[in-house]
Amino acid sequence: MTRIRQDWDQMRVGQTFGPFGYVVRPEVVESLRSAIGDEELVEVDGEAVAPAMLLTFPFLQLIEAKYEPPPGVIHAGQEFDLYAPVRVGAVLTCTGTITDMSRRRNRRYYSVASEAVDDRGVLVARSRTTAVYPEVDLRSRDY
Amino acid sequence: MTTDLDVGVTLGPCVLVVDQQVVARYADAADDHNPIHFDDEVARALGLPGAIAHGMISGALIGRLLAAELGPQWVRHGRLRLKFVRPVELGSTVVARGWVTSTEPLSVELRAETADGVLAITGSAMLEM
Repeated sequence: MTRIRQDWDQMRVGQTFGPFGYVVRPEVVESLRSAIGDEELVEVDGEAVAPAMLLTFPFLQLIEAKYEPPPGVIHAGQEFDLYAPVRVGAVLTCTGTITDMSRRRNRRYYSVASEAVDDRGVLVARSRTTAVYPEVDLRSRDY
Repeated sequence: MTTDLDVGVTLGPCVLVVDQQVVARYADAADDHNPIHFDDEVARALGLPGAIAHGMISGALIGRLLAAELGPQWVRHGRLRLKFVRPVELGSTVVARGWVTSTEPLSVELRAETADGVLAITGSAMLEM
């Protein structure tokens, strides 16, 4: 899929993302666990599971599958409602919608509400990601 | 659950030194190679002090804390709200802690701060049964 350059002026509340398929690969789970030193809840009900915060990955990639972001988008807030373990090997289908765009204290914020359903049809999580869109667009500069 | 979770009980701490290796490993896992995490010049051009860690590295440390303390109920009934207050500079030691504020439903206030006292994240978690 060809990505669109992400521009604030072309973003709209109500704009949708996905469906985006994301495979919970063992090597990604291991890389996350290794980075964070996370050896908790390796299995739930006899099945290997990922740290729940791995869900940040597909929820951000869901947006970046459509938009090529400018350098400097900064994470301002993250909410999760968790409903089921993230099984290693599961295929998550993610969808999202821009729910808010606003300017506060001279900064531009946008929020995306997302959800992930696994390949058993189970709702795994809902999420709301809030990000700050950079005031300076460095894409036209050389570094 | 690994602790008797009465009001006032402290969860953690979970501690992580957020160095370049951690950031690189996290970036590969997340497929998030935003230059503000690797390039001081780009970061400064955007008003940051220099390259900063991904906010969700500290967020994932909080996730580790909650998984350790709340067990499997966390991944089935967890509700998490995080606000990223200040960026974490590379090389910082991040300490995540929680405090039980209610037992019905179980609610926890959360903080991640650097060893230097810079508040990186505030938040809350709840088990909604």
